[in-house]
Amino acid sequence: VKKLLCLNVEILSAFEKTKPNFFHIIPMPALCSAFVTTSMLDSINGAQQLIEENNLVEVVYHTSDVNWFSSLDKIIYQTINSRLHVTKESIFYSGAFAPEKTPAFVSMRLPLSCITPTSHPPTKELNLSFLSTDTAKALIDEIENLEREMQIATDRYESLEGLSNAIEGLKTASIIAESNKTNALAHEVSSELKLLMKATEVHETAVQEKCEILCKRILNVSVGDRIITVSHYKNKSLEIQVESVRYYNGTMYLDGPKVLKNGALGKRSETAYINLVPEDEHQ
Amino acid sequence: MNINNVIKALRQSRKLQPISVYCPQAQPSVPANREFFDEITPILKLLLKAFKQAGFSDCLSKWGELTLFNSTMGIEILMRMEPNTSYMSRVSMATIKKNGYEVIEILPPRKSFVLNYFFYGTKSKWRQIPFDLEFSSVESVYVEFIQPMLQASKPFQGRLKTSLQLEKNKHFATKETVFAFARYASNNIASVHGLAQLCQIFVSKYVRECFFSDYGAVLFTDYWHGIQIITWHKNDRTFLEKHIPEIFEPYRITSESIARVSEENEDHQFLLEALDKALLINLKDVGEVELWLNDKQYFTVEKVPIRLLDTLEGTFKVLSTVVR
Repeated sequence: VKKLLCLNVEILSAFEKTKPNFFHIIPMPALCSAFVTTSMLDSINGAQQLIEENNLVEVVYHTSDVNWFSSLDKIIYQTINSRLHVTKESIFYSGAFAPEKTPAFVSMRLPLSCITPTSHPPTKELNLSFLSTDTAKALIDEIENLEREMQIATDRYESLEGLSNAIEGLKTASIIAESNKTNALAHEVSSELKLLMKATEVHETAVQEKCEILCKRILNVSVGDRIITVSHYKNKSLEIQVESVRYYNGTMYLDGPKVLKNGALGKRSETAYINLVPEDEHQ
Repeated sequence: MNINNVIKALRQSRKLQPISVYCPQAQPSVPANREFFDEITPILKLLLKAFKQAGFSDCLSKWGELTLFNSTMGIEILMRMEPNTSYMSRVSMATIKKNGYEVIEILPPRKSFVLNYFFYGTKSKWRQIPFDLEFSSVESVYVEFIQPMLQASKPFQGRLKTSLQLEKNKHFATKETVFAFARYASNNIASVHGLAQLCQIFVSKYVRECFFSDYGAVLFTDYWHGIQIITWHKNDRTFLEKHIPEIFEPYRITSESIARVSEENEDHQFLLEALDKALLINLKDVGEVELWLNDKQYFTVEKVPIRLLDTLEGTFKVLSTVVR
């Protein structure tokens, strides 16, 4: 199996200059294709080195591995002097009909990430026995404290919300005298509500950061890794690529899209559960 | 033709491929790529041998179009060798237009070459035979290539009596081919004033008919003064002598009366030659031409056309009415 690059081709204005009014006669290149070969990768790597060493913008090679097409099933038969341009992030081809050498048409730029083989680090299994180490326990305690703090903040928030509603619902005592006291109270309550909102947000991000640290230090899993878990539904083992970590009520959740059998990512996202706090058996 | 000579001529004809870009009628048989040609040569030799044994005669045009003609079956096969790009059917044009590129993973084709063929002079479609380089004998080539060709040829047999390609080769210097050469020369060669002028005229105007001679070219356009005359310069001459020497062959005027006039007046001989060619194309017979020249035409009530040919202006007048 080889990788085939297909690129859209644009005609430069130089083409019009050299060949005025010949559009209906000359076969016009519309797309080009090339196989990714080792020699091509070598030349790209060499060009990258040159670019880094000498601080260049672009390196150009002559190639003959490109096929130019005027449509999907029509290859252009005549020789085209084609070149491979390599820049820091992308490659593209340019060409001109045989005796001329200045390029008359160029292909679209292809980001280099499409060519380099995307090798995934090996999938990891979660070793939950590490969770009983001291550092793990300390981290879990921190997370739990943060969670408790957050719980308190949310409780306070809810009760204050009731109070602010009640103050707003108060009827005025008189038309002439201003009710300064209740106004000041309402202001105070609303400012505290805002502070509490900010505090909960800060706590949430803190919890998430702590969870990621826990994952990385103890379980050796970071965002972007692939892990094997057991799905709750049908008890099947499946592979997911971790996209985000969250914590709620004593359980850590690792979310991410499912990895299909051919190695590509699926559309549906799955979740892995890790119980950090042992359940209260008395309840 | 000898097989080695055919391959030699094919190799030579690849030099004309930059020019064939400008001639949509030209369909060269082998790409100009040298590596490709070297790879394909052994199979081409076997193929030509097999065709020869099957009773085909080969014919090669200047553009490098290789055809094989069989008089008993009345078919002529035009061949074309290409790299196999059947994998392009997997590519979707929509995503390329949307993203600008597409990267797909495919198995490269096992047979890396394709032989396209077409029955010359018929409305058949192009057919394809993919192949690789693993052929050793004439028989295997016959089974692989010629048998399916003959099978496909059944509805097209008996259409041709003579080789079309041979006919075409005799009249290589047609309007289209000379125009292609002119386009190439005006783009790529320095100071070819005659050809550049020629190129400019047929890009901007419709050229109905044209005659080329040793002196220059006579073009009949839809422009108001009708006839345009171009003379070859030194560089035009060297370029044309290299590629289309047919133009410079001395032309013998077939009509006796025109020949007599041209002997007397040497200053507009090339116009008289063009007139002779035009009359032959229109009337198709020398006797008819003589009759036409000595008969009073509606545009020359006082004089018969042959009297007008003494002067340059008169010849112009006659010519402009002949082609219209």
